[in-house]
This record gives sequence, C-alpha cells and structure tokens, in this order.
Amino acid sequence: MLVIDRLTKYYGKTLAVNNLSFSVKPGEIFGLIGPNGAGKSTTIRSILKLININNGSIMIDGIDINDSQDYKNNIGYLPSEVSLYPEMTVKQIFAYSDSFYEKECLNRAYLLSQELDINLSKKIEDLSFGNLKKVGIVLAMMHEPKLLILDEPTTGLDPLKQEVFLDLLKEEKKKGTTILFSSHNLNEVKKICDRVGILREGVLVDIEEVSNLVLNDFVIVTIFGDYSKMNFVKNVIAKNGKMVKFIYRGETSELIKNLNLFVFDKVLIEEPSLEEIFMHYYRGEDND
Amino acid sequence: MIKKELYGNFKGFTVWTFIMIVLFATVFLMYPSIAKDTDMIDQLIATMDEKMLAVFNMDVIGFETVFGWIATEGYLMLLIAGSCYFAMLGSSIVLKEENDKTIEFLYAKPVTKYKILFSKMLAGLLFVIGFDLMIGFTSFVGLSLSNDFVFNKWILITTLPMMGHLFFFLLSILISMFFTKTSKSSAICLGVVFIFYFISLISTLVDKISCIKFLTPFYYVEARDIITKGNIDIFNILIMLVSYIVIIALSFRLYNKKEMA
Repeated sequence: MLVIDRLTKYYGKTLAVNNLSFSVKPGEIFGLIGPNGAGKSTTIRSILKLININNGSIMIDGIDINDSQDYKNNIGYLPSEVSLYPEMTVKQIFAYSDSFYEKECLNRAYLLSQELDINLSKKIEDLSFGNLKKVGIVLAMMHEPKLLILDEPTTGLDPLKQEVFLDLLKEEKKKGTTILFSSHNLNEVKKICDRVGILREGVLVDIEEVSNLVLNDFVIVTIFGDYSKMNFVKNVIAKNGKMVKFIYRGETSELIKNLNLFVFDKVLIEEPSLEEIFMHYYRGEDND
Repeated sequence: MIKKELYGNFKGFTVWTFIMIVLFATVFLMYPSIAKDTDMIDQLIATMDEKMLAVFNMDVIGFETVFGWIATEGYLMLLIAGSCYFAMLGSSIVLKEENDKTIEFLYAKPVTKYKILFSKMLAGLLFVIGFDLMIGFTSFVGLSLSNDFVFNKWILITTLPMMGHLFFFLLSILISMFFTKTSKSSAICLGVVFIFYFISLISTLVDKISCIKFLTPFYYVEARDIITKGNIDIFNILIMLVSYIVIIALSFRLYNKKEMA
C-alpha cells in the first residue's frame, strides 16, 4: 500500500531523514516510533507533500505521489497538533472538509462525532485540546480513506476516549484500511500495531513485528560479579562496580551456556518491557 | 474554497469598506464648504508650484466642480488607502494559513497548491471589485446629488483604482512568499505601497528623474487622463495586465516550491 524508497530530506544543511526505506502492507497497522527529532514527522510530511524531499520516492497504491494529484482522496491525516479555522463551527469544518471529496462523507462524520462525543455546534476556538483532537480524528476518517496517517493520535485524549479511538482503528483495520501510526506511547503501539519501524536520528534502525519485540529473544540480564571478561555483554543499560545490566538478544540457552564459562555471584534474567527494548534501539546497539 | 476565503476575510473587508465609504462621504460633505471658498483656494493654488499641483492633478482640474474635488482628493485617498488594505490582505491571505498551521488541513486534502493559491487570488479579486464598487456607488450617489454626474467619467474613476488595488494585492502575495511571519510580510508590503507612492511623487517633482515614474503602478492608474480626456490610456492598462501575469506566474512558481514551515 505504501512504499517509501530511499527517502532523504535535508532542512538546510541538517539531515532530517537519511535514505529511509520501508513499506506498509495493505490492511496493516504500522507504527513509526522514535524520540523527538528522529524523523517521524518529516516522513509523514513527505508522504503528504507538505515538504519537498531531496531524494527517493514514495508510492501509494502503486502510484508515485509525484505523478498523482488525486492520491490524497485515499489518505486520511491526523496531525499531532490539530489546527483548524477558529471562526468555524465543528459542523462547518466537517462540511468544508466534505467539499473536497467527490463522495458524500458528512453522514459518517456525524456518526463518528457521536462515538467520540463531539458537540457539532461549538466553535473551533472554543474547543479544548482534546476535543480539537477528536475533531481531527473525524476529519481524518470521515471519507473512509484507504490509508490513515496518524501523527501522535492519542495525545490529549482522555483514557476513555483513547480506548474508543483504538477500537475505531481496529474496526478500520478489519475493513482493510492501512494505518501508519507515529507514537511515543508504547502501550498503544503494543496494543494495536502489527509491525513497528524504529527511527533514530533520521535512520531506520530496525523493523520488527510487535509480537517479536514483546515475546521473543530479548532478555534483560543483570550480572553481579566480575563481568570484565564476558565478551557477550553488550547493549549495556546500567553498570555499577561489579554489577552490569544489559539487553541480550538471542537464544536464552546460548546465554546460559556462555554464563557457565564464568564465575560470578548472581544472575537475574528478566523479560524486558517494550520501553526497555525501545530504549535499547534509541541508544544504539553495541554501546557498552 | 473561495467561499471559505470570502467568509474568513469578510470582517476585515467590511470594516475597511465601511471606513472608506464614511471617508468618501465625508469628502462629498466637505465640498459645499470648499466650494464657498473657491476664490480663496484658487489664490492659494496660484502661489503653489506647478509640479506640486501636478502631484494632485490640480494643474488640470480645480475645485469648481464636485467631480474636480473627487478626482483629486477623493481619488488619491481611495487609491492609497485601498492599496494599503489590499497590500495587507495580500500579505496575509496565504501566509496566515501557514502561521496558524491551518495549511496542514488544506494540504491533506485532494487539492493542488495551484488551486489553493488560485482560490485565494480569486477571492482577492472579488474583494477588490466589491470594495471599489461600494466606493463607486458612494461617489455615484454623491455626484448625482450634486448634479455633476457624468457616466463615462464615473465608470472610469470607479474602475481604475481596481487596477491599482489588484496590483498591490497580487504583489503582496508574491512578497509574502519570502516570509514566514505575517507581521513582517504585512509591514514590508505596506512599505512597498509607500515606496511606490514616493517614487511617483519624486518623479513628478524632479524633472531629471521623471523617467522613474514608469516604475510605479501609481503612474499607470492616475486619474489625469480621465480628467483631461475622459478616457484611460489603453497602453497603461496593458502594462498593468502584463505585470499581473508576471506576478501571478512568479507567485505560482514560488508557492509550488514552498514548504510548510
């Protein structure tokens, strides 16, 4: 559905995204995660042609976005900070948005508004940040796009509405909608994403199935004792005198075999949280 | 989109149009007291330098008629004040969307940048026409009540300012492409209006540099020909039309390359 190939973007002399390539399959929820400045928003803005890219290509549904003006008919976009015309009412902004599409989408907008508890007669300038976000969600979804691009979608939503929103996304997925999702909230990534792309300093560090990240071959190992000669100690999270805590990626049986070669006081092997795995990526691999 | 542009900028348009109508009506209401003292004013004018009089077209028409009064004082006021308003409108009509980040909403829709810019330009054109027609209607009422209404001259004096106002509106859109903040862009665009007017003044007052008058749009939309010949120079209109085309083409080119801040 979405294929990004060698995307490179500079802001002046600053490299924001470097040679980024990944693809999102139809009907998939793909999470784009990374700290501030990692290149998530730049990637999203490139897809929407809000910015001009320096190199690479972006294909949506097999069509290069530079060759098509109509591809946005099939895209729904929710920015991290929703900015709308303050003098308009919610109903007016839905009607204005509807005017850009060939098919009628107001009925769906009203249905979604009911689900998200939006007051249609309120003026945009009178809405709280959370309610504005809800209006943004309806605007992104009202025309039933094939590709939903969501930049930090749950920021500002109360926990109850976050759940409603995540359920909406699951329903969209069932209908076959592809979703590109940028987030800092690892819990929601864990809940709904199929795969995640991990960005660091404009580079795609890895793409993983969320189930792999959560369940497989990552363990947190804490060794108490002399670890100086243990060459398998990499990806160190913390160390203190004769204690080292690190992320081990591989077969646990292999780890135990290696540990048996050394003498130490105590070892603790734990399943890592998603946060710990991501921190490992953000910090960079092999930094001991 | 055009409806949205008209709706979004209607408040400013209404305020400016109302102020201009009041000012224009005041100019008409002032005429009786001016007319009473025509002899004294003529004596005063006689002491003034010919070139200074030319700045206000007072070398070709006096205040003996209401039309003379409107074609000099009223026209100049309308031209400059209207140019200021349309320069400010043009400087913000594109940039405001970027400053308020509402442009993100538009860019996410299946609409080209060309269409976005075109709808803003078209909305500006409609505002220009609306603004000058309202003032034109005011002068129609004023001239009719004073029994000094000549259709040919009235229609020209109503439509010619449109050319100047549209020029400054379009030029300000072009200038705003180089800025990221509306406040800076508006200040520069207002400055440009006054610089052009200053060039127009200097070129009339100083013979040696009179050729620079061709550089300012005020030269191409001055009411002198309407006053003296009852028509407007088609060549001047052509020059203005060419300038619109160049400005519009450059604006489209720059806007297409422009990135969201």
